[in-house]
Amino acid sequence: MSSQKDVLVEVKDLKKYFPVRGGLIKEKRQVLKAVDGVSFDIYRGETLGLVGESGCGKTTVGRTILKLYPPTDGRIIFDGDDITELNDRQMRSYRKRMQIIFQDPYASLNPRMTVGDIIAESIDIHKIAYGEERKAMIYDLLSKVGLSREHANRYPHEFSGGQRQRIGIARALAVNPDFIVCDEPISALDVSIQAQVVNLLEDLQDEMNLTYLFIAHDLSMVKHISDRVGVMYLGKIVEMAESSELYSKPLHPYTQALLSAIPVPDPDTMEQRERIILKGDVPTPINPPSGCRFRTRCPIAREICAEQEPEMKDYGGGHMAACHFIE
Amino acid sequence: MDKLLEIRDLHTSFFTHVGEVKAVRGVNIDLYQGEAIGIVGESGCGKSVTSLSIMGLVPSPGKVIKGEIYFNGEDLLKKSEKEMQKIRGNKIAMIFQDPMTSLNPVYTIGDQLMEPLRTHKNMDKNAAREKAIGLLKEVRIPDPERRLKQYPHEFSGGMRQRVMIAMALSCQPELIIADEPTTALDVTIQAQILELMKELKEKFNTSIMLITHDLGIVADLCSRIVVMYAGIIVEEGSVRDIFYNPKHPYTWGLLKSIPKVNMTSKERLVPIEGQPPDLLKPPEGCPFMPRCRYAMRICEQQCPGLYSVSGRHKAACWLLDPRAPAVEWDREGVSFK
Repeated sequence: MSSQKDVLVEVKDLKKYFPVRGGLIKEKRQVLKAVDGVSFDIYRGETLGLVGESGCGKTTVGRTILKLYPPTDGRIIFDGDDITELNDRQMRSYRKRMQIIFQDPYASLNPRMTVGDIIAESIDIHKIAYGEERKAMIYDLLSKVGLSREHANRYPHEFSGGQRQRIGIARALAVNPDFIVCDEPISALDVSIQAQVVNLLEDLQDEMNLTYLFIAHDLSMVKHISDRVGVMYLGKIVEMAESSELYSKPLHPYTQALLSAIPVPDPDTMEQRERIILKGDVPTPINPPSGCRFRTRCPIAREICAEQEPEMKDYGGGHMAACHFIE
Repeated sequence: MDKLLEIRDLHTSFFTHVGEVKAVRGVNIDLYQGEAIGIVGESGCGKSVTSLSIMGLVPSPGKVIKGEIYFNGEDLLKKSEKEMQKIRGNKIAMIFQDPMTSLNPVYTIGDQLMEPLRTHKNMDKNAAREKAIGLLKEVRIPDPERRLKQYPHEFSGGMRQRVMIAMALSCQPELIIADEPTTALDVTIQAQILELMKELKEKFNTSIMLITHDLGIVADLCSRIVVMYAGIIVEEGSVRDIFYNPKHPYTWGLLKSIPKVNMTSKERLVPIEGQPPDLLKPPEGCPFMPRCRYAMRICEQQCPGLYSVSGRHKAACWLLDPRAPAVEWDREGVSFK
């Protein structure tokens, strides 16, 4: 899979700032730096996981790559083509190849459309098929995601969360994409249903040779599904590595704390384990700390961390991390 | 140890326009002084409704239709609203899931913290303020004097949940019911809150009823687990019983559908196929039967009672009947690191 090392998506120093109106007097414009210089490659056929706490910018990264948000700076290269500057019309042919599955299966389906029409919306927009052929495609997509033909004429409210997420997946698959951004696709689902959806995503990936960017805050699920994982903190990637490598040998103090904070469903491990409890909350991205952004909560921070921003360095085998104190 | 809470054959239903939804269908739970019990299950299994029944806060059109809830030997279901108000927040406190919506946005944190102290403990304003500052210190909120004058929107999610915990602790309750207290929070903040709850439990010997869908949190905080499914208890036992010697196929399914952190290869997850039953028409037999790989004919006809496995470890499954075929739980499925 990822052994081919054929890059499908290349993100170079991507930035996305949002303007914020500051205070009561609207004169002072502030900028929220949701994504502040992020670079990575996604190889064809692999799943790249992106984890981090709320507000770290992981969703913004996903949406900016698809150009649902116009990027502030940086480059997005999809299958060799620079799509950063393309306008909406020029983007159309690329949109067929890149899709998204949203987090909330309750809010992301139009309640007034039938499931069949929801799934076929992109087929209609891209004028892929009509009439009987269109219908056959809908049935095929429904069966692909484990639903039945009869479901095509029903409305979203008749379905459970897990089924709705399957509809969302069918919609993404309708245009036969190469790349899908999965934005927390399982967070809103129950434990036993999560596994169903994850297995479905894995099967579809093998079957259709899909490439995923899998965004989530559930670290154990991300580890399970991803080939490589990137850890984000306040708009930056602080560490990136093969997923088993990242979980067995985390280098960045934030990754270490994050991993030690996962509650493990095993009483023995819980008793023995040393937990790193971070102090305080994540600072606001409107005015992030100078130097290393993690320094305000970092257990090993020193003066240099406030003065100088650590660079992303390769610590062997593509294991990248940005910290001043990694041996 | 004394029994603090005793729930006997609790039935709670919601009378909706499409019919009676039987959310809780005969639940028995014992909770001892100083004990932390975890109630786990998926959405709609009745875990939250059970806790709301204890507090007498089941929202309309819901109603407790049968059963007894003894708290310190007194049946809470026989108490009037006025009597319940003396217990709520005083003897039994509740921490809700969503710290963003469970604080009143138009009152300061101080006002809201002082309210239970003034009503339940008859403190005057100054004494209540002193106590409120102490409580904020207890849950490690820096600069409590200033924070007291602020409004909820000036607090982050983790801070608000700390305030909720401080509020729950204010009258030194004997029981704290925490309904998904960390679900809305990030992992690192969740770790802070769990650590805090563990500390406070040791310090004040408060009993905790933790309601969650996250088995990891239960393993961290609780000593005993109750597993609920479709309004009934399917298995209960010590944390070790449930994690190392589970007996109910639903518990097996739950444990197997979460990825193991030490998994090196890309092992496939084992989901529980299908969905929970519709509680408008709960099945006559075992509610888990349609999703169970080991279902037998009897499972469809009759709901199994709780079989005793050992000590306080019980499970409601026909497989535990001496006449049933032996099915072994594969321990590999729950080895975590």
